[in-house]
Amino acid sequence: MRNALLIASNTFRDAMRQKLLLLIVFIAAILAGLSKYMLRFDLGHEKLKFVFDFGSGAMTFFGALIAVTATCQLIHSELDNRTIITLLSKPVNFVQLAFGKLLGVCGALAVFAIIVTAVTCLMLAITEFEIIERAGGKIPEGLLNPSWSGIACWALIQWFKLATVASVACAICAASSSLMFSVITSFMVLAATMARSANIWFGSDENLATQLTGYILPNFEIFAKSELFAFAGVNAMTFAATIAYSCVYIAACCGLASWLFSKREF
Amino acid sequence: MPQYIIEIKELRKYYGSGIRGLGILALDGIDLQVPEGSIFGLLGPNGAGKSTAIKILLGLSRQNSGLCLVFGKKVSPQLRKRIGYLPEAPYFYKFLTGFEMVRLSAELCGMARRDAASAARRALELVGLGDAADRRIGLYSKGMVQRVGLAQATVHNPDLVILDEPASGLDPIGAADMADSIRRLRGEGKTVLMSSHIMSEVESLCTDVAILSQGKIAASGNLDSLLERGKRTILELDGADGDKIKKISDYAESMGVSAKAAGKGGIPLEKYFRKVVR
Repeated sequence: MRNALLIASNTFRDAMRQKLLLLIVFIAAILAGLSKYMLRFDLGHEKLKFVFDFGSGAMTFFGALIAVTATCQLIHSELDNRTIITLLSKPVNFVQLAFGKLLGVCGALAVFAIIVTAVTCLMLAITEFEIIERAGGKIPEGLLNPSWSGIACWALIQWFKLATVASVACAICAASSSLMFSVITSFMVLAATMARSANIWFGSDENLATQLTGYILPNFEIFAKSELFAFAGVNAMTFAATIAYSCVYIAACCGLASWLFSKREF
Repeated sequence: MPQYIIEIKELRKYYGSGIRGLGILALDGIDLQVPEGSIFGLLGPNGAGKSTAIKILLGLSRQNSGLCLVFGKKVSPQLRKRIGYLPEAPYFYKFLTGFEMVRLSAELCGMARRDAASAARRALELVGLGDAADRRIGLYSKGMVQRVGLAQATVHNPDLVILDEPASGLDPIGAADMADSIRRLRGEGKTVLMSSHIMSEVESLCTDVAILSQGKIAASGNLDSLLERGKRTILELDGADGDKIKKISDYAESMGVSAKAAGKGGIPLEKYFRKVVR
């Protein structure tokens, strides 16, 4: 475990130096910060819900982008620069290597999730304050009340979701020999996952293909349930079940990545 | 009977190539024994299989058949605590300082953080990088990177040090410093296995060698016996001209000693290498 943490801290440090990653974090934070000013484009949603959805969108889209690109970049730079040989010549096994790399990426994703959540919360608080002020200091009827603990739990689940995406990318990187192949395949997996979610969203019947992708690829529908926490409060059962699902999925991907690494020649 | 730190028996390694899987034979059933406390040189032309053999020894690559034992056991992550490795053309994290890289290596080998820090400082001092320890590796010259490589390979006080082309790309002073460091390691009782193309380096450093050619061992054994060093003695003379040399030679003959031509004793390693590889 200690070696995995050492690899993770090194990977995290490497991730924090990636200019592309920092740029994506910056754009996501700006987008979440602009949510209040986008209210004019709102088509009838409750204002606070609209602001939260904007932050949630930034978290999902840019988070997935970071999870895939950062994971692929950090693992392939280790392979291409042959620093992996230096690591594996030490008492480091493949499980520690895969888990350490993934944990380092998850650290970077945590920084991203904290920043986007903080900006979203700030925007929610400002928008709420303005609505109440405009109503003469009274809470207007029907105004949704943000649950800050619910938003914290939603952010934690979103982080787990991004870690799940990163674990899939990690397993793909372990089998692939080119950065481009890893990035494209990871995005294809992500697209297939989202296509399944969209299929369900539009009310289509589940067929064999969607059922199979639901079992093999990460099921984003499970994570989407946490969006209700933002205003309805935390459902402990849903929260625990989502985290358990994510942990099992990450552990499976990590195990697969370790096995694939062990089959490589360095 | 000598104790062997490394024992390789009938080691074979193919590299797959193409969709039909036609393999390239990198190692063709090599047998090798590295005695404890020796500086063992692994020689061979490019593509002879030196780096492949080293990678199999470290568990970075898998053999197709044969046995490879280090300290009498099959190599495992735990066993690597006793091994230090300097890769060929080493690449380290450029964003780390030399000190951070060596400390990371020590910690990965199980040392506590405080011990790792003091061991890293000491290892860097020994390779002459004490002053540059806190500079980022990205700013190091090639020679300095090689020195950091040696420091990270030895920081945890391993029993076996494996050096893949340790003097590759070093200037003569850097190469001499590297040779001193290797001698120091032997003096500390460590076994050193090194691969090299530089014959003069191997000749001056190694006690034993194995010459690899086309995946096979072309020759191996104690360097003195391979080069017939024991049979001849070099007498270095200063200011001896032709006439004096003749007199010395005659005197030597009268003593029952056959005086050969002046020059290095034994067969030069480079000549021997070419003879066995061709």
